[in-house]
Amino acid sequence: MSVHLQREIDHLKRQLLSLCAMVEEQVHLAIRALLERDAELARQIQTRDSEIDQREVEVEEECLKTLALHQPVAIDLRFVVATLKINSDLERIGDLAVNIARKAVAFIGQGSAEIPFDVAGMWQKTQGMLHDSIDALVNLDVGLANQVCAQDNEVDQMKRENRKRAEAILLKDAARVPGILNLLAVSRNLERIADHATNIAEDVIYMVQGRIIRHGTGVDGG
Amino acid sequence: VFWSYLAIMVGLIVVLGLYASREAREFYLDRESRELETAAHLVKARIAEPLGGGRFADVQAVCAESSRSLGMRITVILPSGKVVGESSEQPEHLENHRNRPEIIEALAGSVGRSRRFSSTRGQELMYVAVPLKQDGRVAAVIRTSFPVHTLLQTFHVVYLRIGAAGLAATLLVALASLVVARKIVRPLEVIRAGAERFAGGELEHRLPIRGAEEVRMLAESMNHMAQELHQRMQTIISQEHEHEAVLSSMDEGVLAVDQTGKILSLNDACGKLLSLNPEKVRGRLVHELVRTCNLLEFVERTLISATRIEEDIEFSRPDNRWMHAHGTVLRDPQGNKIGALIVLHDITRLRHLENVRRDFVANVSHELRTPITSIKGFVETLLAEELEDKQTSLRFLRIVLKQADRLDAIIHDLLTLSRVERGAEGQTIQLERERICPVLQSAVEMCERKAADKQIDIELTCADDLAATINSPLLEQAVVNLLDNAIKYSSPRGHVRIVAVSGPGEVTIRVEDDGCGIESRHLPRLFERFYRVDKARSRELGGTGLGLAIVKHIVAAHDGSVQVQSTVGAGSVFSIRLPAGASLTPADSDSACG
Repeated sequence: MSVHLQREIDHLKRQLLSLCAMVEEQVHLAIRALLERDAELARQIQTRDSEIDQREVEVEEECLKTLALHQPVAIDLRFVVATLKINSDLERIGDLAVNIARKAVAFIGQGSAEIPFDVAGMWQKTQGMLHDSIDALVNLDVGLANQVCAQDNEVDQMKRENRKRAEAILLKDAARVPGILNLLAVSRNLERIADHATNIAEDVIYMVQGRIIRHGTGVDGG
Repeated sequence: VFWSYLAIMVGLIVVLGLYASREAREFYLDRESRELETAAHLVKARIAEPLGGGRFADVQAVCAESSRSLGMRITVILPSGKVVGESSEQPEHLENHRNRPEIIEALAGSVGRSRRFSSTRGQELMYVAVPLKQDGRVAAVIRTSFPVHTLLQTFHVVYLRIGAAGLAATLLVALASLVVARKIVRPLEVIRAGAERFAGGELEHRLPIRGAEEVRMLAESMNHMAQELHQRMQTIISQEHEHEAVLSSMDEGVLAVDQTGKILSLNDACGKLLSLNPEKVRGRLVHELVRTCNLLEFVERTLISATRIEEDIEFSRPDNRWMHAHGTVLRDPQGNKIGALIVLHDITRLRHLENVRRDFVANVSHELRTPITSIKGFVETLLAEELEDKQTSLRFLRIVLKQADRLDAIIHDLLTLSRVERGAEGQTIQLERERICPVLQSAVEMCERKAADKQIDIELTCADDLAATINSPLLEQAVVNLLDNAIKYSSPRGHVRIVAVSGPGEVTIRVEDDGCGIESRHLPRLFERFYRVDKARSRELGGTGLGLAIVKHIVAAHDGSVQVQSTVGAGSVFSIRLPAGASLTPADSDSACG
């Protein structure tokens, strides 16, 4: 492999990891803003999203440049392709963080009642998945990527439980409707983030093994 | 070594053999030709007399007879070239021999020699011709000859022998050179193996000094070299250890990365700050390991900046921490950029203290201002209305009194706080070993009236002989503050329990209530001055916002700790833990309580 290509790929890797760190932090701060009722922080998150968008564009351009100039093959090609896809996943997660921050602002504005479900626990789980999927990308660890895919169901389950609890509360106490709806939106957004983490993990598996496991095709050796 | 030795020796043997066989052959031929000459002289003596008489038949007979006894061909030739005696043929059949080179020489008066092909015998012969002189002139020539062929056959045997001897010598030489080569090569082999061990880092290894002089000197030099290297390595290693010790005992995190962002090294403190294992991360991208984009940005900025930069970096995960970061470009001795050095200093506590101090000043002014504003307002109103309505005036004055009491309470608490703080700092608080029960009892007594107002019942559980090293007025104050809070935030007809138990090495005093509880997000800041969970309500209930801060400082002055657990809607538990000494003997305890 040419030295230039290697350098490009290292650069790409650094950019992607920086973007990833940023996105992770955004979601973390959004959740913190919600838990600590910090509307100021939530507003900061919304303004910071444009930086993520800009970085996403940079990563994409870098990918296209690498493809055009170096015509990578095999693992390098798959890395660039996976980076392209992970890049857009990360950007979407950034948007979801902004959504959470917005809901947090709304929730705080409504007098911030007690949060009836375990948002922190759900975020911990989701963050773990996001973190692991990026770790899997960095270390080319298929085992870890598979673990992430397996955890997706747990987060889905958490979201369903949250929904049930919300329904029970709503039936009893109509005054809490707006607040609970905001919290439900946060729960849904977290679940979406977990889905994106799963996508990233699948892209990692594709990158390493060259097999596409989306839609369950890879499970039986497809 | 062996093969080159062998080649030299074999070459030598071959050259010697060839030379020897040539010399032998020359010598042999020479001797043969002398023999022929001697024979010719013998024949000459015998034929001189018959030849002089012209009896050619006798000449022939002598020739034949001599030839038989000497084993060679003998020819007698007249100067005219006519053959008169011939041992192998009849002389009449022979042609004129005048032109033969040996004959020409002999006719000239000297001994003629030649080696040539004989047409008579059909083979190569060696000829020697001797002139027979009578009366000063050549009367005849006697020629003896011998077939070279026969000589050569003899030579073959000689050659074979020389060859065999050469072969034997070669074998001997091979054996000898094998031994010699072994002797030279073996120590070299040992030295080579030793050199490889040196290369592998075994510098304590020493080469055996033996063998030839040159080999011994080589081994000695190499040992010397190894020793020098060893010493230098030791110096370098000890220096490195020193540096490492300095780095790892630093409180600041030190992180070095190369130009591409790969980690060159980081010390233990940095590993702790970033939750990384310093052993495992060397050579990996810092981006892979650190997920704090502020720090990543800082590293990247340091890599491209020309000067030293510093900044306060916020680490939002896993918990909110602040680091003060210094970034410097790393340069090698030639001055080329090789990376960046980042020094991180945890300033979370500093920041926190700064915040607390700022908040305190703001809070204390606010807290003092509220009652003063109120007092001022009512007094102004009273002055304006000139005390016409006695009823209203009294009501206003009561409010003024209440606010003044509040002001007094705040200032009293502030003074208590500062006294406790100063006492704890200056170690002037008198701690004595005392029983805890009476202290708790008196605290309960002080709160009984307030409790009775809300029909709250206080239950005290305390072992009679429980004792600790305490300052009883201060501890009483702390417990009163906790009880006061518990009563304030409990609903009427609630229950407050105060329990003192001794655990391993400590005494725990728990104040439990079944009031409204505190949300978990408030708990970390609960003991800060003027921190209020519910601002309006607390003030309405007459709190100064300093009660728990005082508790915290009192307990700290006792070297203890205070904790709180709370469930919203189910109540709170405040626990004071004090270090305990040995408990008092039963004889010391005179009164029961509970």
